[in-house]
Amino acid sequence: MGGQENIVIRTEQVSKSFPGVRALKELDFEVTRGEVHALCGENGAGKSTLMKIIVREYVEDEGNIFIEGHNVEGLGIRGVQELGLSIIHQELNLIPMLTVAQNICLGREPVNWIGKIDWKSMRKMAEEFLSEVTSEIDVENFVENLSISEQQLVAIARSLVTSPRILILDEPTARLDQKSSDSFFSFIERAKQKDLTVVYISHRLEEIYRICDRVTVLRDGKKIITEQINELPQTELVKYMLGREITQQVPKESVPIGEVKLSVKDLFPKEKGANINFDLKSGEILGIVGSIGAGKSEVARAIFGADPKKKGTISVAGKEVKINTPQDAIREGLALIPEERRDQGLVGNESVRKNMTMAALKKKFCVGPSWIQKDKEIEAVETSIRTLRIATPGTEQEVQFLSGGTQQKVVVAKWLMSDSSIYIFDEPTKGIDVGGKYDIYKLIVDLARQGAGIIFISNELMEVLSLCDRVLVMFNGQIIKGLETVATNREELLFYVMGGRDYAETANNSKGYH
Amino acid sequence: MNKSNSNAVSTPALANEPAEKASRKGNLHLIQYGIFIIFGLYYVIVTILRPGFLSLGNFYDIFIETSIISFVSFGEAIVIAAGGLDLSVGNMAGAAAMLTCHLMSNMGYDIWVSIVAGVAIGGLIGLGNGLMVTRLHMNSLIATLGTMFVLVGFLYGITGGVSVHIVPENFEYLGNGTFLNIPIPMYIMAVVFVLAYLFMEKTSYGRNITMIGGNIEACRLSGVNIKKLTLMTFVICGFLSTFSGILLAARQAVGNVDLGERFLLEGFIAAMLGTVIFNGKNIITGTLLGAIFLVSLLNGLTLLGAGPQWMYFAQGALLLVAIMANYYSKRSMLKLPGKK
Ligand SMILES: Nc1ncnc2c1ncn2[C@@H]1O[C@H](COP(=O)(O)OP(=O)(O)OP(=O)(O)O)[C@@H](O)[C@H]1O
Ligand SMILES: [Mg+2]
Repeated sequence: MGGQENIVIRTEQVSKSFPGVRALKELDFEVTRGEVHALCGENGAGKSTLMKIIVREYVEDEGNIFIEGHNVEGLGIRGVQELGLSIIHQELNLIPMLTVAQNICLGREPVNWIGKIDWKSMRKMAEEFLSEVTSEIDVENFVENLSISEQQLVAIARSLVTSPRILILDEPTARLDQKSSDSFFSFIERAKQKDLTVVYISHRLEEIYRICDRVTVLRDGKKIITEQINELPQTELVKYMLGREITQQVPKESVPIGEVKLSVKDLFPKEKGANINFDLKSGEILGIVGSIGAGKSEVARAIFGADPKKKGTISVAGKEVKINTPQDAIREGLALIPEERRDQGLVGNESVRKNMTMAALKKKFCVGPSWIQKDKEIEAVETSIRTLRIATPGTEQEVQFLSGGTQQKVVVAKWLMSDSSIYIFDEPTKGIDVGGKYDIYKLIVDLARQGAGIIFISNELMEVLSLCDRVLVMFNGQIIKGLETVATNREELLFYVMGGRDYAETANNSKGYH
Repeated sequence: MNKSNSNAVSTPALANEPAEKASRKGNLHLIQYGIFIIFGLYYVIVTILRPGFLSLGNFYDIFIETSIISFVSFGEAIVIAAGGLDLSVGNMAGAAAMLTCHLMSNMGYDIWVSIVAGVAIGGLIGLGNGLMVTRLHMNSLIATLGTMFVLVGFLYGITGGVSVHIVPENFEYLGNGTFLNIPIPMYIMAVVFVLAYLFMEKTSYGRNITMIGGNIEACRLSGVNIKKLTLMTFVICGFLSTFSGILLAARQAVGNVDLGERFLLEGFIAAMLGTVIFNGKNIITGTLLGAIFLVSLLNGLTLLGAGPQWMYFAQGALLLVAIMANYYSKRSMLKLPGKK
């Protein structure tokens, strides 16, 4: 126990229960000064709960927590902030109607001598914190106009306002695209040099191996192990997390590719941007990649009728269709798994059952014009809970009480129930654990085998490369490249994602972007 | 609670700020159970002071009154479930009642024709409200406020502001008659309650109406027909409001222009209570309980001899409690940004 004063966070035998769930069981956890400490575990393992207890948003049922040697009992959220602790939550908590600067300085607005908010110094303050993570966002812009990835960067900047010495990051990269991730990692590197302590939660193992020093694995609310990261091979780590081994192979097999299922012509999703043209065949999994502002989600939303489009024709199975609302799209057999689960996918105060059956309620769970068959609902929902390993105490739990990744699984399950023929997945594996990702890949391949056409939008290039048949790269609202996945690799994709023109040529003159 | 006492250092300057989340949830339950506890206590006190409160006759009074306001309360609850608000319920009830009375007493139409006309006018006004909200994208508060004042004009227009004394005896029977010793309005309430309950809990319409109130964007992206359902809530509310109005006229045996005015406040209170009693679930049953609570509160106050100022005071306080409870339960939903 030589370095007592070097232990910045220590929990002793912490337990926490929610109705129907024992989230944490007698947990001991320690973080030493200056390290980047990874916290791993399946969805619902208790990672976020432990962090919320440490920052005093929840109160433990039993046990003790020490921060910098202080027992935090009786301290509130502000209290632990003053001990140097700051957290970035798994869910975005920004206020959309306010500007970036207002969000960053919320509750700490600089005022002039008569107590009026001093806009100029507020702007400066916001810029200063934002520049730690990015230089590409205007602080005067409203948060609702930012992409999800940019919003995440703003949330990170906001957590720096209290000048923390310990930073808790709950899946910060789940919402970041490739480019923002890179600037985020260089921020972490700089932070490490300044002796900041970081607790880092993520389901992306490469990241953990890239930036972390030690790792703690939770499973079912219990600590399984704490280990130096470079002494723990990845397969071992996964085994500790899941309690079982998984064959880390995307179950991709050659699915026969059929007729054109969806054909998009001359689509202008918004005022800006160029026209989008592509075909999707039945049995095909078509990836779409690109960085912030590339317009991937805009295209998805325009096809699905979620946003009004400027113009363009969409044909399903060779027949031109009119899609102006999501309802039209669903009638034509389309499904869109949206980007942001909480705002676009879930009704938080309703049960897992009602959320899951929402999209197919009339079609599959009603007799007569609208009489709901509850047993049929329950049966289907229970099946989904099993196949997707959804961590919930039951079908009637309100989704707001599920862990972040579990909520995401509910959204995916909802659309898997819809029996659609064209699926657009917009980052479906965001926040989902290693095991869960493979379950979802398997289900997607199953859909393809049954003849559905699938559009798979993702920021994780490896995921796209291993799952998809073909990839479209978007840049600045345009499709700049279409590639067969068998004939390309991560470097090439990344090159085009960054806006490169001709990979073969550039690769010859050694690497360099643009 | 059962935390071991620790002897570690605690910085006094930072102490004593309750954990926000936990206390917020606590408040919610406190308010929910609180409603039952407060009413339980109230009944005990009133019974001690005025034993007549527990008599059968008084129960009938309470239940007839409850029946009359229950319809407008169900309607308001359904509108609220989808995230709207209808301020015109009172005047819709009044308009329907006046129209019915006028047609049968002054114009000599058949009772049933008059009643159907009264109910139909409510449905039409509800349709108008719904169209303003769904087609013209007006805020429901503003749209129905407009309707409310237009209806005042209509009310005075029908009879020139003169009360209508009801001629046909059969009509009064609707409000004051009994069948098997049970007042007629209670039968009507029972039927409407069951239908409304089934509609909200067992059909896809009711399910989706509640889901819209939870997160409209998620519903839109799941293909729920938001416009149709929102329109439907206002039409239903219009229909149901007329029941309250016509029954009240029948009970009083007179139709007057301000007959419906009380229903806005009463319906709103019962619906708000109904929304919190089961935490946003099963709102129809909740609203029935809310209506019973409200009526018995006023009934008890009357027995105690309280003046109108106390009536308003009590209703206002109850409304605030219900709104507060609603606010807390909303805050705990994940759709709203939780913390600072
Ligand atoms: N407020 C709450 N009410 C009820 N149950 C809760 C609440 N918060 C968390 N839980 C439950 O506690 C367990 C742990 O949840 P937690 O959010 O800590 O998981 P997690 O490890 O962060 O998962 P993920 O990787 O999906 O984010 C889950 O089973 C969850 O359903
Ligand atoms: Mg979590």
